[in-house]
Amino acid sequence: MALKVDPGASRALSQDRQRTNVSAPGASAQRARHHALLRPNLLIGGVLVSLLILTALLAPLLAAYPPDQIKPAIRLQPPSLAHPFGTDNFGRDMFSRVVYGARIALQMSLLSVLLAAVPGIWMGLLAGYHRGWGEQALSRIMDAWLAFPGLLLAIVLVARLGPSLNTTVLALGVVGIPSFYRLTRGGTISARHALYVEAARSIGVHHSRILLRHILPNLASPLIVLVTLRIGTMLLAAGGLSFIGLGAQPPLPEWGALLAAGRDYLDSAWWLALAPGLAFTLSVMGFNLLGDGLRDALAPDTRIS
Amino acid sequence: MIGYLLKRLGSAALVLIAVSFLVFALLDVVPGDVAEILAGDAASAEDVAALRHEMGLDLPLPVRYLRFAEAAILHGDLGKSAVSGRPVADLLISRFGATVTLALASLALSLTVGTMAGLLAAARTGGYLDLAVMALTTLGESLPSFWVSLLLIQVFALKLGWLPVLGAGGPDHLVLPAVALALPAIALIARLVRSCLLDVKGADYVRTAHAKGLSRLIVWRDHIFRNGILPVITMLGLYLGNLLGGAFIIESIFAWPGLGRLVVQAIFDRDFPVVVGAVLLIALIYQLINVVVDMAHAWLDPRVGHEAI
Repeated sequence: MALKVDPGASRALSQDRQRTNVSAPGASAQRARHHALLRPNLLIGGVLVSLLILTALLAPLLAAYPPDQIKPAIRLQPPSLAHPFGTDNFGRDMFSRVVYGARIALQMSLLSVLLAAVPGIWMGLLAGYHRGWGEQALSRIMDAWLAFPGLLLAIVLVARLGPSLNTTVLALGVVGIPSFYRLTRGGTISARHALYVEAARSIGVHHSRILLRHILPNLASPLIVLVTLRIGTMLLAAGGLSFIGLGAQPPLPEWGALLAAGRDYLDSAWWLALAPGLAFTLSVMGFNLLGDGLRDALAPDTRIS
Repeated sequence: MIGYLLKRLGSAALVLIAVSFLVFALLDVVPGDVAEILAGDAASAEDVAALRHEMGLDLPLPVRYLRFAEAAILHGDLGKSAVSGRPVADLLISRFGATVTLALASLALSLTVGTMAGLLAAARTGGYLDLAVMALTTLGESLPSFWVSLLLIQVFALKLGWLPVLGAGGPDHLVLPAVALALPAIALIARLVRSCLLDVKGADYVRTAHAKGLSRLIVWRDHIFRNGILPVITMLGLYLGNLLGGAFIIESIFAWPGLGRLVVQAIFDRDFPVVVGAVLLIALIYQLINVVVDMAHAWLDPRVGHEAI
C-alpha cells in the first residue's frame, strides 16, 4: 500500500495504521510523565474554547456598539477606554467587530466540519461494515481525494461558485470528507468482528441498528478528537481564504477579512491587525489543545507518541 | 523496487486523470463563457457563436476534455488565458521558478529549525527544554500565517526598514515570505521529529545498543535518528507539496510572483483556463513528490516495498 499521511487526521491516527511503538519499561514511565505534562492541555483548551463560545453567544451584551455602526468622526482612533481595540477606517468599533466575528468564526468552522463529518462518517461506516467492491471503489476515490492539496481543491470550488461565506464553508466541508471516512472505515473494520457486534448480530439486530447503536458509539472517542482538531484547522483555512478575498466578504466582521482591511493601515493604525489576529490565535490554540487533551483522555491508543 | 515504482506511477497517473477531469468539468461550464469574454462586449451573437465553434466550445464535455488532454500531453498546450490571450503554459512557466524558490527556501528553513528543535526536545524529555519546545510548537501551529506575515511586514519592513515589503527581486525579498511560510512547518516538523524519536528511544534494539557500550552519539545517530526519521520523510514530501500548492495565501500577501498568486488573480478575473492549467501543474508536482517520497521510504525501510508488491 502506498504510504499516505493525511495532514488533517495525522494527529488522530486511524486504527488501521500500524503502530511502530514498542513498549519498553522506560516508555511507560515516559508516558506517565507525558500524561502529567499534557493535563494542562485539556484545561487551557477548554477555557479558551468556552471563552470563544461565550463571546459568540453573548456578543450583543459584550459589544458596546453595533459592529457595523459607521462614525467617520472617530475613524482610525487608537485603543482607548471607550474603544479598547480602537476604531477602523470607517469609525467602527473594533472591539464590537471582533466580538461579533467570534460568531462567524464558530459558525464557519463548525458548519464546515459538520459538512465533512456527516457524509464521511456515514460512508466510512457503510464501507467498513459491508466491505466488497463498493468499499474498494470508495476507498480509491478517497485516496485520490487525499492525494491532492486540500486548499487547492477548496479554491477550485470557490472559483466555480464565487467567493462568499457559504461557498467557503461548503468547499472546506467537501475537502474534509476523506479524513472522517478513513478514520471511521478503519474503526468499523476492526469493530465488525468484535464480540459485541457478533452478539448483536446473533440475536438478529438489524444492520443499520448495529452500525448506529453499537459500532458508532464505540468510535465516538477518536471521532470527537478528530472533530475538535479539525475545527481549529478549518478556522485557519476559512480565515486564510477570507483574508485573500476568497471567503467572507468585507462588510462582515470576519476576522480574516478584518485583518485584510487592517493591512492597508499597517503603517498608521497598527491596532487594526492586532485584535483579530490574537482572536484567531487563541481560538485555534484552544481547539488544538482541547483536541490533544481529549485524545490523551479518551483515545490514548490513537495518538502518535 | 521497479515493480513498486511502476505501481506508484500508475496510481499517480490515475489520480491525475481523475483530478484533471474533475477540475475541467467544474470550471469549464461557467456562466462567463470564455468565448464571450474573448470576443468582447461589441461582438454580435453570431461572432460569439463562430468563436465558440472555432474554439470547440460547442462540443460535449467529454470530447472537449479529451481534446484538452491530447493538446496538453502531446504539445504541452493548455489553452489561452481568457484575459490576456497569452498561452497558459507560458504563464505557468514564467511563474514556476518563483514558487519553487520560495518553497525550497522555507523547506530548508523549517527542516533545519524543526529537526533541531524536535531532537533537543526528544533528548531532554520532560525537561524545561522539552516543555519550551512543545509550548512553542503549540503556538506555532495556532498562529495564522497570514497574521504572522502582517506582523513581519509591520516590524521588519515598515518599522525597522531592514527588508522590502512586497514583490520579488534580490534575496532580501525572499526572507519574509519564506519565514512566514516556514513557521507552521517548523512547529509541525519539531513535534513530529520529537514524537517519532520518542517512539524509537524506548525500543529494545536501542537498549541493546546502549548496553553494547556504543557512544551516545552513535546510538542517537545510527539507531534512534535513522529509524525514527521515516515518518518525518513521508510528512516532508507532503509538506513540500503543500508548500508548492498551498502557498497562495503567502504569495498573495507578499505579491510574490508565483503560481499561487497567479491562481488567486485568475479566480478574481474569472480566467478559468489559467486556473485549470495552474491547478493541474500543481497536482502533477504533488503527485510526483508523493511518488519520490514513497520510493525514498521503500529505500530506507525495505519492508515497505515488499509489502506493496
